[in-house]
Amino acid sequence: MADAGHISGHVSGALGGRFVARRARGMVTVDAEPEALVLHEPTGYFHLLNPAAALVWDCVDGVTSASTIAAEIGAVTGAPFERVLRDTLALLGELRDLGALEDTALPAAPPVPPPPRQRLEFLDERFAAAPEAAELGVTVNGVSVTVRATRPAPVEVLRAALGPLAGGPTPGAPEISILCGREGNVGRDLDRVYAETVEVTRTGSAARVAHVALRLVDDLLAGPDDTLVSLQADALVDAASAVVLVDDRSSVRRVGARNLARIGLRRLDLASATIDPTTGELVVSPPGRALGRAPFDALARALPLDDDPAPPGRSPVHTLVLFGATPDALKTTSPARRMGSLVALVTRVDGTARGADLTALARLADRWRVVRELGLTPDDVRDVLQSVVAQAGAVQNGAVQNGAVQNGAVQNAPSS
Amino acid sequence: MSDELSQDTTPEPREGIGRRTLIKRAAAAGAVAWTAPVILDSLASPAAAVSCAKCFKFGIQAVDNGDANPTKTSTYPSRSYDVGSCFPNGDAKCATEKEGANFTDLGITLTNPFQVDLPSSSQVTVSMAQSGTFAGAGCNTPYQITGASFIWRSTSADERFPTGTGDDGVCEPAKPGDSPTTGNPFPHNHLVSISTSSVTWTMPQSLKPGHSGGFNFVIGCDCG
Repeated sequence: MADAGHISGHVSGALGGRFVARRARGMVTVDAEPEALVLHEPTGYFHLLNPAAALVWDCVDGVTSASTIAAEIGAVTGAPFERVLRDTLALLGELRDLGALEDTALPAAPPVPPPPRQRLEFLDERFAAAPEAAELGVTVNGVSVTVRATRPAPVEVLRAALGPLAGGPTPGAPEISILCGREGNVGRDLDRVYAETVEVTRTGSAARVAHVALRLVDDLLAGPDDTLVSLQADALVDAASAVVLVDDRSSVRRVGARNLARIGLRRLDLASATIDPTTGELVVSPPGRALGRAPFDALARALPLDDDPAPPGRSPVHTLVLFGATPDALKTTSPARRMGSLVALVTRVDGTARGADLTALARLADRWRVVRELGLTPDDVRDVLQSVVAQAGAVQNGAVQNGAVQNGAVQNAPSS
Repeated sequence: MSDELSQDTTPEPREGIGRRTLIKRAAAAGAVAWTAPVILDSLASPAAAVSCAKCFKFGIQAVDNGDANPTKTSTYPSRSYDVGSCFPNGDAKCATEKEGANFTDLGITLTNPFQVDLPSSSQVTVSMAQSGTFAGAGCNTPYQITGASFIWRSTSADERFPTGTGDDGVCEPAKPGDSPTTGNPFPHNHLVSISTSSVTWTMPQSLKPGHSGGFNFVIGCDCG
């Protein structure tokens, strides 16, 4: 092994062979052999490393100097020590500048404060311009949620169903926002229900609005189940009770419920798609986890619904559709880049992302059929979903043994 | 793909380097063929990338009769055709449309002419001034491009499209960070470059020159 201090010049900025790096707080590594994805969990920022960079990153332990790392790598690869050290220092310097690692000679950076809650500005503008806007708050076990609507009726319906649980809003609490449709010359807009920044449903049914909103309140109060993986995706159920997950919700909304129904799909009104990482099934928990059954029963009596917007239970997932990929991303064979295309799915509304969720999703993506598509127009989206449903049916019928390429999509073979 | 998730933060000190991992990695990397370690990409999460305090969306028509040198924004989305509305990135999280706004009020400059009957040697660029704060719109920073899209159509006589499909439309969305598409197969091959401050497209030489294309934009200010 070469002397750790043999090269002490400033090869990359101020870095020399004695430089000892530690990984920054909140960084986790998700293997994408032979590459790697390093993720900053508090912000969702991530870096994709080629095999050599993944090797160097793997050696960053807060104890070993850069020159020792280079000597170890040189011994394994046979590459000249000086060259490996130069390359290693260049990479470490770059990662340091990106905040992914720190100099052990300096105090550790303080923890990253939680990101401010994202807000949809147009929602706030609509509420500011709504003189009849109403709101209520619910607090259970110290957790609070606020429900607001641009007209009083939805809030009053929920207040009646919640009974004594309904109170005043808590400042800063997560919000369920009900944007009541505006009257126009030729009818009325649909009502929309948002969970924080996520539009969950768009409907003309006051009953559906109330049921979806109450369900969201219950889910927010209960909090996420850390044994499950929450995906920022739409869940579309087909006739076989299987599920298509789609990562671009706005695309699905433009297709519309009627067009979805024509191709045999129905969208579940969920804030996120919750997946069991062991079985790969979509899990819809029964309502009442935080609020109990009483408010749901009261609402069902006051405003009955024929169909449950998100019936509880488990359904197998057969396809994951990723929209909006660039042509380059469609063609990539890089495991890290493919892993990177999944990060948005596990990035929560608050901007954080868990490496464990990404790892679990990557494992599931090996089992599910994954379709990557460019489509952003309603026609594109409808065509893609139609082909997904058709092919899933063919697979179930044994007509297709392997994923054929349709619509120019690059996709995994279905799990065997 | 491995399912291993490594230790959070810095691992515990260990004897030497994790040799098993090292060797595994080295073998995968080519063992004797050391290549420079490279960060393939550094990306913010999509949630963070689109967080602008203010946003606007607008269209710019690409026409050849009467308004090939536009100075104001047009309706959003611009044109629709049989490919549907061609929404750019960021559309779903931005509700404010700006029709009839002066380009100068938004800090927009553009190269002309916006004519989709021109060949691919003709390029158009839309740039957002990176100075000024547009306080009148409640902005503390210049505008950034969040997403853009190019929609256009040709006629059934255009042999580049399958025959018998009638007037053919193309929608090509793009967002900052995307690679050029000019090397791709027709028809999604018109993006020359895009950043948060400008976007350049080549023209497609449509056979239907009148009112046969347009651009859509989502822009924002005070972006995090």
